[in-house]
Amino acid sequence: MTSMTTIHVAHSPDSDDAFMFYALAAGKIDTEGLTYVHELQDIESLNQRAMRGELEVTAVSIHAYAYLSDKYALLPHGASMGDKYGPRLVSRTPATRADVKGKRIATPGPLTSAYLQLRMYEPDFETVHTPFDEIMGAVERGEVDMGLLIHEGQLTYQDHGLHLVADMGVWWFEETGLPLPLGGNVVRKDLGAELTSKISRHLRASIAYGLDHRAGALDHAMQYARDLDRSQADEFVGMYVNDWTLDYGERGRKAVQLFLERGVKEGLITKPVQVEFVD
Amino acid sequence: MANAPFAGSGGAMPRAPDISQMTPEQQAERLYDRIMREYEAGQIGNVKTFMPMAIAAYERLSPLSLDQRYDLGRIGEVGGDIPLARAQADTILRARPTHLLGLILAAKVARLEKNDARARTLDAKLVASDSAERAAALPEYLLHKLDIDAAVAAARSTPK
Repeated sequence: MTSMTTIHVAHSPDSDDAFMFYALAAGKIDTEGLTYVHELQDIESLNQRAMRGELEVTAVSIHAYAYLSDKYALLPHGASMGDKYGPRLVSRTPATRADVKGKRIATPGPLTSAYLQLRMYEPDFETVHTPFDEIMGAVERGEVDMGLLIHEGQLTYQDHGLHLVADMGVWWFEETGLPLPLGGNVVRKDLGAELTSKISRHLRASIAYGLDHRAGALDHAMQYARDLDRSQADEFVGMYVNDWTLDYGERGRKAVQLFLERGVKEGLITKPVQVEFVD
Repeated sequence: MANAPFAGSGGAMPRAPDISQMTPEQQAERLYDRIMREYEAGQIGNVKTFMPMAIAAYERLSPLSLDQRYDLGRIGEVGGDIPLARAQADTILRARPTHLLGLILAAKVARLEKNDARARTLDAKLVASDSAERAAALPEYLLHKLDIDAAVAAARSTPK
């Protein structure tokens, strides 16, 4: 139906995304004539590029999807959902929720889900949007009072002498009883139904292949594990490649809808959101 | 205490930039700096981790300036991607055969390839070209002055 045979698929350089895209990157599955070109970039930059419609298929933050729903649809698989865990707010010295107000906090970008979650948790703080891999260092050096960690930093902050202030996934579960939506894969709507359906099949097959061939997928994911050893990387992948990854399911979709609705209700998302999943 | 006044570090590490305001050039430069810091710290695993992001960031800047090609070539060199490094050196030297950064990068590649004869030839050309090239005052020579000074000094001290 289309002459396009090259699809740019972008994701963030962390081990759970690498695990999900392993089969596609390593040529382990039949892609029915489509060539996938992989791009790696931090999630905030991917959010910004998706806002400009630059990428055909990309991982984005669920928060960013609120501003992308006219151009992109959510694929039903590839979700990163935290089941009573998520981005972690850390500081150099022990602190509690009461201490967060008014603080200078390094966050991974204004369109990230982590940032939206923190705004819901405590609306009043000074934000310093920082590349995800520099947040921990900024806290350690005292450039900021606290840092909101995503990716592997969630597991390694204690090795750097930092203290947990709050886990956004724990807080969200206490508030809603639902998993915390963090990221998802989206496909640009102008690709059309047939191509979209094909891409969706391939991405699902890639995730399923990774789950069925865990050791190989984990070897691949280790390239992006930064400070994690293999067992930690396995743990991290297990945190975010879970029941919701092959399909959001009813509970996962409810969590996405509620997360975005709450963002709108609290004035943190500036437009109403119509969530549209590709089925 | 959590409420203690903001201390500030005043240390040698650069302050983290604002990710939401960075241009594509700044994104690429940040990753270059990050990779060089990791390399100098001996964190080769982290060099490899950031390499794909950095290479993609430079590819998005295309067409690359000679300075950007040197940066990309250095990323290839420290990350073990010799073809990437060699391609950048070749392109720089095709554009300007006595370009100091091109000669430096090409010599580094030759050493990685264990081609000592070519490395010595490039070193000699670097020393011979140094004065005239520096007089040209290309902006990238100022940016990479430390690299050039070190490479020229090493080339002068290398046994012929």
